[in-house]
Amino acid sequence: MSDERFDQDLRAVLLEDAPGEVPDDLRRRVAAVPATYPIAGRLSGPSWRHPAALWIGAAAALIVVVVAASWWFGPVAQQGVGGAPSSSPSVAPTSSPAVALASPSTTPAPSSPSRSPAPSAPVVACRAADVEGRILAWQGAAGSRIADVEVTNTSAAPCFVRGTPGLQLVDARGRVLIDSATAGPSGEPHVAPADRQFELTPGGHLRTQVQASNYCGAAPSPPIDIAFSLPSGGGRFVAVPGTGVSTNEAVPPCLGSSGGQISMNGWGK
Amino acid sequence: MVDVIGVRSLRRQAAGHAQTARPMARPEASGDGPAARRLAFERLTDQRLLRAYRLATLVLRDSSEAQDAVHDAAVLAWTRFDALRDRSLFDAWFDRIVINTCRQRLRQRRVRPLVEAAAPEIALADGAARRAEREALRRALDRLTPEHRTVVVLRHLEGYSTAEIAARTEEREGTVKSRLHYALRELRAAYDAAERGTERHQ
Repeated sequence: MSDERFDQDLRAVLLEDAPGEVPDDLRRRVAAVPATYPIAGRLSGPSWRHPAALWIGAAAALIVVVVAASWWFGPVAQQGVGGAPSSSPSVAPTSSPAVALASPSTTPAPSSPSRSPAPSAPVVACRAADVEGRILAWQGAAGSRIADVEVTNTSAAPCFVRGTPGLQLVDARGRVLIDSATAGPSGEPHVAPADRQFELTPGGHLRTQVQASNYCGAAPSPPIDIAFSLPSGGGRFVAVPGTGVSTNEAVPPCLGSSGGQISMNGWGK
Repeated sequence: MVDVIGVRSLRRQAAGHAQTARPMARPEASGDGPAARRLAFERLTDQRLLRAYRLATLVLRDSSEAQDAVHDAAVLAWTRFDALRDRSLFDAWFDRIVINTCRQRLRQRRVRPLVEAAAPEIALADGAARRAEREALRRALDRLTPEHRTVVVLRHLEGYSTAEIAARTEEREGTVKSRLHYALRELRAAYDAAERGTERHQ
């Protein structure tokens, strides 16, 4: 078979599988990005990010350490040389050139030097790429299934979670079994004014419980996952079963033709 | 974050391949005010959005997740937009961010087996043999690793050179060539097998 025909067919398959246009929703979400997210470096008083400022800060910190060290260890060194407390006047720590350079003060305070508060960047909403979801357990209840889910901030920066995400019960092939957008009180991803904001430090966890009921479709392919779509266009992540967690009982039984439901409790730590 | 953005290495590679590089986005006016910056970003992303979405869809094999990946990439690109001094490099820079965002998502997904289309009934009407071969190609594409699928898409759909693919995937050209070689070998084997199968039926 000719390479040319193979190339043609490969390109044809890629073109068939590739979307021909950008969904309006994606276009809107991307267009809203500049208005929604701050540019890094313009977040808050960026002077500390500047290399020169960092060098100055480092030099100041070093001088402070030298001052403190010379104050603490200076008299001890004098004692050590003579094997006993020296009667001669001890060399004042301020006599060292470093101290003279550091400060005109002749009496450094023994307490730790005061530091100016470090500026901190504002904590932003967690995006799907910042977190990882794990299903810790599935429990069966009357006609429904309940999953304990833990969400971990896997990024290097703190972020917060607020509001109710969209929920989907999905199987291993990515097939959506129940979708909160069409089934259940959680609905579409949203933030209510009264919703609390949960801050997650790097490595920090949040927990919730997700309930699903009344699935009447075709047999799904295990394992069963739960997809979360974060509010405000925060993206979608999939909570997968943790080690040793069986999802054999994760699919709720069919209760009738009223349609499946999926919802979650509030977030908690 | 640095490896996601990779401005320096991109600039190096762009300089090295300036002769072969395809025309990229036009440099924007160098207005530096917030409004000008925002306008420039909106224009550049708008021009690139379809390609980015297409790339993410083919790499992730999931259009819904691809939308999220492109959105994430746009957020990251915007928050680091000031790091991109030469806006004529935006296309390759943004592609790189999209690819890295897809990689992150695939890692989170723990590289689950992708949706695999059911094997089609091989009908032997006119054109059916070729359809079966294409279907075999599609399933073989699903089976490729994301890294292999990425280079195949960048070469056979977008038409990028090895150097351009290397700039977008942050890999050496040798690695790109090797991935293309093995990926195409897999695809070709599936394609040829489908052809042999349809010949037997005819």
